[in-house]
Amino acid sequence: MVGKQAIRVLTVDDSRTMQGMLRKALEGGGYDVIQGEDGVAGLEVLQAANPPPNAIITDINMPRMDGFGLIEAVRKMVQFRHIPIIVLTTESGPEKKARAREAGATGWIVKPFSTDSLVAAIRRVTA
Amino acid sequence: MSGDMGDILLVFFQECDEQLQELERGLSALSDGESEQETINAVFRAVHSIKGGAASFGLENLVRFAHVFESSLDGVRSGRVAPTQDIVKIFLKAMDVLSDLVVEARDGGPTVDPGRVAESQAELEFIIGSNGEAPKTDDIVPSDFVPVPMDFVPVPVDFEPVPVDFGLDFGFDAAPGQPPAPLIVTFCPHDAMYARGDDARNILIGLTDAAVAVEGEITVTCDVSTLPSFAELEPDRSYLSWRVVLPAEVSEDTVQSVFDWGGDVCDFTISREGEPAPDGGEAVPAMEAQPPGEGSQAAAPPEPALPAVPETSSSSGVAAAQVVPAASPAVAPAPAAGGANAAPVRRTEQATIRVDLPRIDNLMDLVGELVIAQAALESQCRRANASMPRELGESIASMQSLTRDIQDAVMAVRAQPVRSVFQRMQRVVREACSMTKKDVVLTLEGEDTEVDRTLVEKLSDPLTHMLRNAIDHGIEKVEDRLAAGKSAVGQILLSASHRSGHILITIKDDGGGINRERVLATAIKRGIVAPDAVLTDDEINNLIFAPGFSTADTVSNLSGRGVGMDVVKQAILSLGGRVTIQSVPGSGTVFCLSLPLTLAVLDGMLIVAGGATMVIPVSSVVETMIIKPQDTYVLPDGKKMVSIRGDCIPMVPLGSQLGLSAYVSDEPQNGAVMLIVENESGARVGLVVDEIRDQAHVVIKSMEKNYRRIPGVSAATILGDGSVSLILDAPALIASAVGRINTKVSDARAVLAA
Repeated sequence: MVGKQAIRVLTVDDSRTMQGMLRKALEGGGYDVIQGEDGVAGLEVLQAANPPPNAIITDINMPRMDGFGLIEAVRKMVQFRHIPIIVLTTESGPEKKARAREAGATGWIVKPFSTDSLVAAIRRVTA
Repeated sequence: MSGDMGDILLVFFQECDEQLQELERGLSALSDGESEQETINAVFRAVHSIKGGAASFGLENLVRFAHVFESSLDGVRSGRVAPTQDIVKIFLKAMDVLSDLVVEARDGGPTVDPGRVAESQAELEFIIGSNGEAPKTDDIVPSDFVPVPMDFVPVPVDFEPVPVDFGLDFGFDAAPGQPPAPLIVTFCPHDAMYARGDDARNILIGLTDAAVAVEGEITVTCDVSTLPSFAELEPDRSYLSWRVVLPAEVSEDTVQSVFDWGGDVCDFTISREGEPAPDGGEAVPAMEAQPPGEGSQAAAPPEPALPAVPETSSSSGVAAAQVVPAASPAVAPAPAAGGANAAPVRRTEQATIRVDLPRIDNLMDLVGELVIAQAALESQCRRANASMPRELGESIASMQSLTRDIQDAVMAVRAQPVRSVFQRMQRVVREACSMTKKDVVLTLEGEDTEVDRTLVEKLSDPLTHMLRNAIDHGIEKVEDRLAAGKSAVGQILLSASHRSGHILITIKDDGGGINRERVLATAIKRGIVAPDAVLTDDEINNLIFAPGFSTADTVSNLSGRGVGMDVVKQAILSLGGRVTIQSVPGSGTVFCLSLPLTLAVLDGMLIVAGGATMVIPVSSVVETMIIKPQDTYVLPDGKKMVSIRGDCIPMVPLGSQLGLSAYVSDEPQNGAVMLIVENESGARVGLVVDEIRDQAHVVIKSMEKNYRRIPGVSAATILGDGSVSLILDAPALIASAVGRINTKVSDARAVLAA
């Protein structure tokens, strides 16, 4: 898809701890990581990114714009209508999942995540 | 790689501190009656974040408590529970427990009393219970929770899959039964599945993994029968369906879980070979489940047998999905397209960046040097060439103003609002209240006032002690308050503001005020003052700062910790500040702390004494005057006094006091200058100096670090001409010149000088 270039993943989470762990996990898996600290920043990073990311991992509960808002906004952008978006959250309620599906999430991972499962998940959607 | 887990753990604890502050801010707002949804969300998020991070590091105690806390906050967030004062109080208490648990996790230090945790937890659970929801303690940590492997902690890591609700399960949980026949899975994605960024490819990979888990392979057939001609093809439509044969060992449940997430946008059937395939489903636009071997067009069976290694199998899965690329709408955005249409390329400027403190301190030091070098250049130019070309003069002047701007800018970088310290005080007050069984509300004002960060850190201890003192000794018992016609709840106001280059912090309580009779009696009993001493009200007030002074009839466990107000005063003095007290019996006491904005630069008066140029902080000089010989008197012990407007104060010849040999005569020459300096208790002496030379901002250089401590000297600086000059410590000079509190003070002036 992107030739020899590393696959780029955008992670959106308001927790620096989580961002650090995501970066470590993904960079360890050979991915190029760009980050945004909430939905609004995530969209800005997404629009400014060159090359654009191949997948997005987002938290749900964030200030300014939450994960649902982010997913909906991304799906409205023509060039990102089909980008895989994985929700990474501590929540697991069915109504939250339903909302995420409706918004257009590609997958759902429950925190805490293991590096392997995360990388495996990303590998699949960006294969 | 971004460092190892240790770094991230550090970030986590840093973040915990920030979240706790956020929590404190939000809860205080709630307790002030604010009920903005955003405040409640922020409070919830803070606890949520701590829980999330803690779970990643396997900090179980923290996770467990944070979870209950979060659940109870969720009640408020969702509007089931109203944030009444009582409920906010429970939250505040829980916040204290939470912050102790964070400290416990970080330092491994004193373990938090389990009783306290349990008590707070029970209260929180009561809140949860009050909206009819049983606390679900089970799902605090997912049962198959695996902490992220940390390099430095031997956490047992068996790679159990964390629940990845993805439709892409690893399939490790495949039932070990002996199913009779291979499993046939057919599926047909809806358009909506692709709209979600998902892809049939992902399902194929999931199925492959399920097969790989039982060391088997899958056989894939793609049905392209409904594929229209290229001209009619709509890229967003889904035209393909698949039939996959999995090994017999794979269970239905495993396959079901592959469709767990995407099942609502994809029709699928699962059956055993030989059984009649269940009907493919209602809205299948393009596909009937095909019995094996019959009519299925093997148009795209690129890799009927997928290799057993997940990595390669996933790439072959891609091949399977992309044999008919045009038909697959899930073509990931091509990088070129992304690059081209990223029209509004906005740089994502972050509002803040984090910088290591030593870097800023280093910058501060360098700017200090720059100021000195600039001053040196200026004085040299002036000296070397009295008729300096105008251009040179202008250049130097503009450089001077730039240097000053840079200095201010760096100061601003180091400046921090006092908020963090002030908010910590809420907890101090809460704890003091529960210990003394008093009810006190602490109101904060001016939390945004900025001061140098070194100062912010050092404010914490004195403020803590003064607030405890105010609650313990200032605020009366409830009965006494009611008897005095006050409300049962005590009020303490902690405020900060800027005043002419200083920060002014006041602690104002509405308690009983200082009982001067008792203070005086105690001071006499302790031998702090002579029994026959006649003291002004202000002097009596200041006695509470005397070492070893305590007015409490019974030493409570709160203030009686061997730390007196004298320590507070010492701390403030060492910061270059001053404390004053105003107290009205029956209606309360106000402590005012006046502190410099920074500990790095000082507004100094350049004086000459004993042939040496020295700097004395302008803040400690009350007034300057020319000595008139007729006003000086010699005491029997040879010490000299000077009478100023009726007050007699000791005269200290600065040169000889400091042991400067160049200063030969103790005799104040006619016309010598005297600086009246004052210490915190208002004691004054007149420092006799040769001349006052200039006033300047000087950069403070530590004496102890570069040389050693000299009595009467607080620090050193480098002047414009490059010479080193000492900065005098006025209170120390006064202390060495006179005994303790034996100088008569004008109390009115002492108060005004605040």
